[in-house]
Amino acid sequence: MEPDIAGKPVAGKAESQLRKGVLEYCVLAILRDGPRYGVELLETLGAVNVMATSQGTIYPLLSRLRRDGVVETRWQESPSGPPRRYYELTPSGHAALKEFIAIWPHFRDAVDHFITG
Amino acid sequence: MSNTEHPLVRNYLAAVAREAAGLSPERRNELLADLEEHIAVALAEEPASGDDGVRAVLARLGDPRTIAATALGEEPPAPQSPGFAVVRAVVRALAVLVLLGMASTLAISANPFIAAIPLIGGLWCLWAGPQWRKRDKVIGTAAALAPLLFAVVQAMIAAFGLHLGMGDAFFPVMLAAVALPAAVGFYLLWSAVRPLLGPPVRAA
Repeated sequence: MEPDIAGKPVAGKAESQLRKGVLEYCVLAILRDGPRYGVELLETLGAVNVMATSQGTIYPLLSRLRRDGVVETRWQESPSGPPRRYYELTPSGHAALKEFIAIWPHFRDAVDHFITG
Repeated sequence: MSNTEHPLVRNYLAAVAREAAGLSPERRNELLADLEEHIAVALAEEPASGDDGVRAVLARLGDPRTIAATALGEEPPAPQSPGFAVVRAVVRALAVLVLLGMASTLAISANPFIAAIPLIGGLWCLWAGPQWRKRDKVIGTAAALAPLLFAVVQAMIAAFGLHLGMGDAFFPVMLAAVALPAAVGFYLLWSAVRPLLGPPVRAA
């Protein structure tokens, strides 16, 4: 594995495909507890190694989540530095997360079933 | 001066803009605005100052190519408008019509070998056209070859002095040899355009 520009190891194919599938639900789950601004959201994601990816790639995802109406944003002044744009779940975002939470254990068990034969 | 005016930041955003050239302008500007906003906030929170701080923030954002590729992956492929498909089908059908028309006219009136040029061009357009079924393509090819066949038969009659008893039937047969490709050409035009004019194609 060769290091990418951020010095992290380049993800394998399986890892990046899995991340692609679940990343948006991780973002929705982080927002479940309340609004977060972009940098804050990325730090939370990046704190878990397997979800750590080049931060910039999250913005196209956030843009799609906005278009899909599962998140919405609002600006808020900050005591330090520029105003922050906060992302928060819409009712349809809550519903999408709920659906994922319901299906995920089955999915995880099914994969475990096959790979620990 | 805003901290996103830093030359390193300008270069970074220019690289993203370059790599994201395939995005729609709206999507590209949105991505650039999101990244610039992120950089402004991240720099305000960055403990390292000066160029080192800027470099650290940009390194965490990652390779502009990766970001652009992710954004391109999120963008659904632009649906081709039905209007454009109709125009393209009509242009192709007209090309077939004109080329085969030229071929049959030349075959009758001049050197059949010259007729081969528009004939090959017309047949290529016909077989490359996705809008026709194989049956239509076979019909079109047969009709396109009719005038050439007529010209060859006529040349043989002249060369060998054969008398096949065509006599008065010569002109009607010649007219038929020209009219057949024309009629088939219009049939091909119609069969190419008709499905596109029907009820709108159901979205996948």
